Amino acid sequence: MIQFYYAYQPIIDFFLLSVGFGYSQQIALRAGVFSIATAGFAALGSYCVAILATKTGVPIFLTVILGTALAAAVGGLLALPLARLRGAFQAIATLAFVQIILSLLLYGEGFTGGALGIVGIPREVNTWILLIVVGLTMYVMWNIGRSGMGRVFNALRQEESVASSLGVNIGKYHIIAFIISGAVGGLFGGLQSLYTFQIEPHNYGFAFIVNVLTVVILGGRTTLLGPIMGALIMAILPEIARPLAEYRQAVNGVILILVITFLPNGVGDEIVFWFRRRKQARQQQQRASEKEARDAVS
Amino acid sequence: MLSQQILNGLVSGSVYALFSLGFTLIFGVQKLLNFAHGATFMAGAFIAYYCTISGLPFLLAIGFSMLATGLIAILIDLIAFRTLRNRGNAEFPALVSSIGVDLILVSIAQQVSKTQVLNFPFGTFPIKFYDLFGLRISLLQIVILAVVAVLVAALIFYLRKTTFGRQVRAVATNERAAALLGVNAQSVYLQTFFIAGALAGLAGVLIGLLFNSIQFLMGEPYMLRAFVVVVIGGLGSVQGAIVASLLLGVTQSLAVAYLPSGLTDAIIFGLLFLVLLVRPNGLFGDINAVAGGTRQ
Amino acid sequence: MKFKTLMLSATSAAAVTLAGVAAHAEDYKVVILQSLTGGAAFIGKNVADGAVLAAEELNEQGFFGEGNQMVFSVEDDATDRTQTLSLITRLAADEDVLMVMGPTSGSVAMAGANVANEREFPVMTTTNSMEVVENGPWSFIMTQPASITMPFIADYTAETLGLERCAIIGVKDNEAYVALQRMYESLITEAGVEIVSQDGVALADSDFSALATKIATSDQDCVFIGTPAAQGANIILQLKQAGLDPSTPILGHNAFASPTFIEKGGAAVEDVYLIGAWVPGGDDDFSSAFAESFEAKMGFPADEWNAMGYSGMQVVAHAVRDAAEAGNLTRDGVRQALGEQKDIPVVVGTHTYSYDEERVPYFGMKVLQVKDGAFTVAPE
Repeated sequence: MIQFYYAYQPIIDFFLLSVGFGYSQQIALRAGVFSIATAGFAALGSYCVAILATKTGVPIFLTVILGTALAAAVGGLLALPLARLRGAFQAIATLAFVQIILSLLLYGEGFTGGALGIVGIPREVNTWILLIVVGLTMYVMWNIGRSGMGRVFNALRQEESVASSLGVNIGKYHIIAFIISGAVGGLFGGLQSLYTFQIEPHNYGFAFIVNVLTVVILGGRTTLLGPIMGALIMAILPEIARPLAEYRQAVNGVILILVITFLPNGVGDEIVFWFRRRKQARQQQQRASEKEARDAVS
Repeated sequence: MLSQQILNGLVSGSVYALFSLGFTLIFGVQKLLNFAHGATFMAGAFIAYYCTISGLPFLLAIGFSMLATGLIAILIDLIAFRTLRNRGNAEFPALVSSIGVDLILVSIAQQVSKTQVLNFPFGTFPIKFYDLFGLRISLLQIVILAVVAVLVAALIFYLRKTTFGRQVRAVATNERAAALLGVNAQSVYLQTFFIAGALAGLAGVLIGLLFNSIQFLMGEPYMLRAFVVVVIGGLGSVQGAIVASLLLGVTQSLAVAYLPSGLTDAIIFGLLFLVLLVRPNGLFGDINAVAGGTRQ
Repeated sequence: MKFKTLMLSATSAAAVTLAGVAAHAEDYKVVILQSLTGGAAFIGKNVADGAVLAAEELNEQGFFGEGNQMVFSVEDDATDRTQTLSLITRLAADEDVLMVMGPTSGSVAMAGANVANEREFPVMTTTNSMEVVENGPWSFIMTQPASITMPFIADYTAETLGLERCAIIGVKDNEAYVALQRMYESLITEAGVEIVSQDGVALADSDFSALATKIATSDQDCVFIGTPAAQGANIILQLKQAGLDPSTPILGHNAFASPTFIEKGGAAVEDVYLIGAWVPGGDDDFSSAFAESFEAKMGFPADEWNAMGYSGMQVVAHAVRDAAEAGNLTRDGVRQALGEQKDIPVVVGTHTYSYDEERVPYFGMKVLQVKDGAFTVAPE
């Protein structure tokens, strides 16, 4: 068992990081915002932690909190202009946001290390820490899902005009969703930098965006199980599809097309929905048989 | 140097226009972002390259490549967009689907080219320079400006004066109403995709020629430029796309010439963000339209 | 007395027999982990090809002793850090693997170095970054750092050519290239050369029209281009098209030392100066023999990275054999032996390869020039 762990530890750790980023991406989509900004949040959190950890004496725990807070704040700010846009333009805006962050990171050589990035980051994060943080994130996401806020998000996602006619302040909820998305993205970005020893702007570019998007599309955009399923499949895929290694991108592309066309809710969501339907069906059956019993008596 | 740089910018900008016109056409008509447009552009360069090195005369290679990329674009519509479009509420799924197609096309190109950077053989296009009004301009630059001007004029004529053009604008305004009036929406979509694809393919060939470089990732920066053009120029506006493209080309050239080189991207995307903030419908977009169109 | 002699001879006979039994065929397992795909494939794949040829030849020649051979396998780091981390962790867990030749470059190499030092597993990364060496005693570099290579071209610029005002074009999004550029800049500045302009391009860029016009209309007496071969050739093409004074010397570093440079540049790159560890075709018996056998096996001429891979494997092989002969065929033994390698015959540079006390490799560089479409040694 230990041997398995040693050999596969990096995959497990990257899987956990993926799940975290997945939640960051998911919460924005859940609230009906067409955002792909998670890469930018991750970059902010990651660089904040890395710079503080390597250049100052700030305790590691605090650097992660600061990184999370920075990304959350930027997320909130980002929501303001985004609120005036709809659909595809939101996507373009968030893409532009990521590009701006990347070019600034490349340009700010003295501060961010430019193309080289930050090296020599102490590895302070291990599998246990990741498990705990992912667990906490899931707990928070679960609570959001069950709360009034979660219901508002659902309404915003499905039919905005209804929500607005019921007096919901759409802008406020978008900002909240973005703050959460930013916080989670920044948190895991920070954890990532404390794990991989070294970060560079390239890590948070187009490949990152596509990976995170695939995790959420593949896994599910609304349920807790979504990012877990998505990240799991994406983590195992390179191992199973070794012979197809050179076509990895193409396989990723095929998955995206197939899933969004034929299984648009994603694997994880579909599983959850199936269980819910079964539970509902059984409840209905129970009520029907109870009714029968009552009718038989009367 | 200033006027020379402006010339550089206009040439680059005119190719951006060729690329972005197709993109904005699809966006305007279908309200869908075709993320695979960059890959179509790249495919144009690749196809023309392989045709040329297998002996086909260059002009034929270009023609064949435009035809091929038009067909590729139609294929993209059939695979990535059609099913989703018929289902309704297709904005997000269509974007994701087109990203998928982009990944596939880029991956194929990577394998075919073995990750190498390709270039058209020396002599594919004559290298001649002229001295006009104190500016150094090459034959290729003149040809590019001329070709783009002609094609843009043709496209505008097509959209304004022909039946097809009217149909396109009808569908762009309201698909259901257009269908009621007897317009075959599916056929309109196919035709717009074909035109968009062919123009993108030609743009790819011209860029491959102008900058001596054809590689599987060449579409990505152009894709990002197209976003900027569409936002600044306005949703579905042809004039907007042209002006925005030229503006973008010139801004870029001047930024490289006069500002520290690392900032060019940040400036361009900052500009994009600013426009989204202040005038989300772009310079030429309908001030009353909701940016991004209505979700159907 | 007799009994003692009998016992002595019996024991020694037994010892010899046992030794004979123990000295059966040894397999030395080495993994060549390079970027076969991804951004660094043009380095990694070529290094792997050269290394494989070297290992095959050495096995054939019986280099490792009677019946022994190096069992090598080739793996792909895909220029991807996640993939590399998984692969290297797994290789480290495989007790039979003595060392890894690789990973190739950049952050991928650093990741390999980190795991190597964590798990006490020797790796010889292809990169030349001193950070790999400084990361710990288990991570080595195969190619020379900028501090060793750049003086060759910097001295040529300032002293041999006596140039005074240089425009610099470099790559901004790859730290290896940035390091080379910075080193060149500080060396020529020390020698009194003025840097007239500094521009960075992205690796994926191909539109150099604005940059070319800017430089062609500026006043400098030399242009230094620190980019990869294909891109550099393209920049030079566009520089000339934008009207750069044809007599302006153009210089690059060892990234230009590749057939791609001449292929892509054609007539435009004639007279360009560069540094290279490899003179195409070879410039002594060993290197000419390598050039021949490589072309015979692969069907195309060897480039700088093929030659480096071939040379690196020579060093690895010597280290493994030395460790075996010292009776210390463990990972630690290989690590020690590797750091102590001196004067190993190789096909690059000045033809001998040595590690100094700080485990920095040295094998020299030649200043080359493109003449009649081929690399030749530049005039002194």
